[in-house]
Amino acid sequence: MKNDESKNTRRRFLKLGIGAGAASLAGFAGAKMGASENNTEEKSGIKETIKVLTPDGKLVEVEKTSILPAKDVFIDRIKAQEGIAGRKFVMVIDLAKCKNARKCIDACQEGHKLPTDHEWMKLYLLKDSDATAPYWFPKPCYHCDNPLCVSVCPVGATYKRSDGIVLVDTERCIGCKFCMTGCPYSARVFHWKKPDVVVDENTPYSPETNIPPKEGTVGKCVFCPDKLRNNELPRCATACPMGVIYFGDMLEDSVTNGTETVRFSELLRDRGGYRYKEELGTEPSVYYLPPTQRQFPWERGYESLPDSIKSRYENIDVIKETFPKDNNPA
Amino acid sequence: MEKSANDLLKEFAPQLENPTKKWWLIFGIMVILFIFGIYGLIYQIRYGHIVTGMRDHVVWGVYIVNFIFFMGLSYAGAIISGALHLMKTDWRKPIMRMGELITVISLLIGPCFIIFCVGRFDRLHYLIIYPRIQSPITWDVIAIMTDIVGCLLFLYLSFIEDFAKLRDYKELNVPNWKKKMYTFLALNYKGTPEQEKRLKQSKNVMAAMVIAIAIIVYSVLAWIFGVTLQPGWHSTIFGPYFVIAAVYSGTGLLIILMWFYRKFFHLEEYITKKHFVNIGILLFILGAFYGYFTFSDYLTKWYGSVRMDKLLIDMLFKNYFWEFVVANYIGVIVPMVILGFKRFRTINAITIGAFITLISLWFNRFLIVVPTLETPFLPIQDNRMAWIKYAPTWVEISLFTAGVSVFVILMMLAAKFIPIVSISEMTEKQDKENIII
Amino acid sequence: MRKKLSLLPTITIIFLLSAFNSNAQDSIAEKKAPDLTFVFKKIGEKGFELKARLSLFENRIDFPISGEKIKFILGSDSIITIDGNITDKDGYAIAFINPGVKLPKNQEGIIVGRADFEGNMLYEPVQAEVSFIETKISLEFLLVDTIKTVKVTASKINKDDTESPLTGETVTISIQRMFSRLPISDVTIGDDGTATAEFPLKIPGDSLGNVDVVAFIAENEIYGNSESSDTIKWGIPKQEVLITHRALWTQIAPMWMIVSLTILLIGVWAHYLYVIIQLILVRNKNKQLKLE
Repeated sequence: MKNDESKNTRRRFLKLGIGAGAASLAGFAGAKMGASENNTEEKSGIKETIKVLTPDGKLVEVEKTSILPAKDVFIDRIKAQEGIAGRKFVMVIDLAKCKNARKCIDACQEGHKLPTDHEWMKLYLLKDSDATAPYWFPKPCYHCDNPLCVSVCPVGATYKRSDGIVLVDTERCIGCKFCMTGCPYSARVFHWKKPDVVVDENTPYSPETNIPPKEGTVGKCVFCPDKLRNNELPRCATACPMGVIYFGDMLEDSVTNGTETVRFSELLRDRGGYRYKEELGTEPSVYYLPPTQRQFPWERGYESLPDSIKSRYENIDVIKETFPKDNNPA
Repeated sequence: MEKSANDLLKEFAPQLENPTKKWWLIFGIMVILFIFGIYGLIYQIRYGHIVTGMRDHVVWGVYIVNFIFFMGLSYAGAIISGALHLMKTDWRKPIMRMGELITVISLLIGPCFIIFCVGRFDRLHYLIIYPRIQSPITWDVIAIMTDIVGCLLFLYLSFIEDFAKLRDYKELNVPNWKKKMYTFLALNYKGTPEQEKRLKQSKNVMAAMVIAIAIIVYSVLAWIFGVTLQPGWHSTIFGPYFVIAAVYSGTGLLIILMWFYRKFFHLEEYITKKHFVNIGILLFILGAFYGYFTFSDYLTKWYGSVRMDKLLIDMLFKNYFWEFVVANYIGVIVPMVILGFKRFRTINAITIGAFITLISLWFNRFLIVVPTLETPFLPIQDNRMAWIKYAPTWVEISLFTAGVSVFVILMMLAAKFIPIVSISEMTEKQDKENIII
Repeated sequence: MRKKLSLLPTITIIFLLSAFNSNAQDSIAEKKAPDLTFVFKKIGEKGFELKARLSLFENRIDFPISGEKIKFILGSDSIITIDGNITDKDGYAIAFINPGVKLPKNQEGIIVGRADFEGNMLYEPVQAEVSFIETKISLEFLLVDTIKTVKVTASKINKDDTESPLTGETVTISIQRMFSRLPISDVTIGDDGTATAEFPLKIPGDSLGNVDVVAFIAENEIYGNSESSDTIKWGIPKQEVLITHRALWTQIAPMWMIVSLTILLIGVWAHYLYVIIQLILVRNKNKQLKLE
């Protein structure tokens, strides 16, 4: 049975062989880009349909939005100022599981079309004091409830929404960088030159994705509101292979890392959750779980890195002690 | 020796007439520096801010340092001529105009550095049409606009009487357009008692306003840094500290300009050693205050055990040792020594002291802005040198020299437009009863 | 014998075409092998959902493949085909089967389903197959000694459409949340085909306190995926989002700031206005004198 099928497939392929170049290129481009975002039902005007098998054996086509919730609605600059109704988003990062795999960073860079020198998620190796142990520390924007960055913006280019998310409107941003000095967590980054990314310049701009990026404006982690509106987790949470990043709505007391769902209050209570630099009074929306009972040593997060990334950590004292450079090769 | 207005006019008229070769030479050099700065600006617009030394951590570099520095220089005129005017001192007369000119010109140059520093200068008007009044930068925009208008008014008030005299001076050998300008700008001033009274009242009002506004504007600028949480910036002393440092730097610049104008226009008779010494004493007092505030700020940072303060002080002493010494030791001690001992108080020595003041204050501004940004709460873990340590590039330096050259150009043009020593002030009837100093 | 004969023309065609079109030869070398996942899920009274995902794992990142046709084939002896399902931008192709459709089952009562991607110039063809016995899950909400309890009834549907209790199987009882389901407990179905679990106290629902409870079996070796949900007003009403209107960080400033700024500005600019008026008077008074 299987042989027949593979032969049929081959034959069909060969028949299609000549002249299929253009179609395949289009498909390839579509796959590579993951299809340009925002280009669904609402935009193209073509309704997506799905097949439904009815009891009388007929196959009917039904509009997708009548059965499944609408996806990828375009949110313009005005709508972006309203948060997703009735939600207050929080993130919990489990430092006990993070091993610097950096998939969160890769997914974020890819998903938001970020140039190489412009990273929204950062990973630090922190060591609080001489005797305490080092740990890997992922740091997105904390979307503080008392955001200093928003207070100091002179033109209102950055704002906090009802769902807790702080966004930057790069159509309003004048690039004064006051918000970058205002943020104590170094969460914001800047486009110092024309962003060298492949993005269709005609894509309508939405502050929820910050695509297309603009030179001379500020960018930062946005908690992926475009994904949240589809009831999907932010890209970093989905991409993490260790399930380090939990995300959820604080008001329904539930956070998930894609595999495991727990009650937010119980997670913080059982694992001793805290916020970084609570004393600064910024009231972050990101909580951390202390690095206790680790299943693997922290050194593994450094050893397996490619050299270009290893060099970022080379000047840290604990790295210099643990991995001394061999100055006299045998 | 009391000279009449006409005598003064005769003496100062050549300053306004055709420029000498020397004048053209200096002017030419300044124009070349300015053009070089324009080239740097175009280069920056073309290739983006990546051509500067600023990166994600040190987002404010030499541009903001220059902005604060030039804004600081402007308080020379504001506070010195304002205060001295109100106190009706005699020896202020020859140097008042210089002070006021410094004020206005620095105020016009300083904010230009914001245009260079901002990522999207094509959207600067958003500061006016979409202001958020909770932001210290909006306070600064309002304050600077108020300050420019106020200082321009104050400057113009001091010009009116001289314009009237120049309009009436028949032997003035200047082109017709200049004569017409004098007539228009003199506002029909004939010296009648009523006009004199109005002008005097206006000057008193503006002198007081200018002092108040100067203090407010510079405090607002200080609070742009003070209200953030960054270690090194979150200091309660910043408001008064910046104001004192500003007046200190402005006074230094005033002394330097006094020296230059005295030399080029042969004003030895009017600007004497006494003037240098008196302004020098002011410099001494301000220097003492500046040193005191600086010491107080660093002592409290160093003594307390807050980790971020310790990291900042370590960075200052390791990476910025010589800048720190120049800014906070040499800049305080050398001028004070020169002015403290009678033996050292010569005109040239005092001018050198003022020059050292100026340099050290520029470094003081630099040490306030940059090292703090290099020690953020979360350590910089990066492999790109430019992201770790700030180093200004040729673009930023070219625009800095352009700013200085524009200052010199405008001062030179101003001196060609109106006598640098105010004739009307010099011949004003002395009100002996109300002298305070 | 049949196989040998059909082999010869195939080889000839390959030879000829590759001679004419080197493109084809390059493409053969470059074709990638995508991944296809297929979930065939029963959703309570609403029927079945067929969901297939086509993706490519390359350079440590998973790329969804969109715009491709997936065919769903049900059964092995009698076949129902659902064709023409196009993958969306996330790589998913979805089809539904309404309740009341008689799905083809084999002798043991197993339903077989397959998702089929034919392949094209860029991608190898790929298939995914699932097989399961149909189950039926239902929920009931009771108060047992004033304790809020959820009762699950689970049964399997045999070949002759009779039901038998799903004894010994684990069913997860959960609460539907925004991104996922919050598990309350995993219960083992007893001999009578039911199991109970205590409902948690103080779980936030919607603004009225309604919660959606979902009981499901997921990726069970024999029974596949099956779920059922129901709503009950046992949750606590959801807290409302706090909205601050005037603060340092809102778009509108606190009132005291606006008032102070206005007073300061008026105070300063009033003086400027005074001076400008004085200057105008200086100029005009003299004009009047001249006229006289």
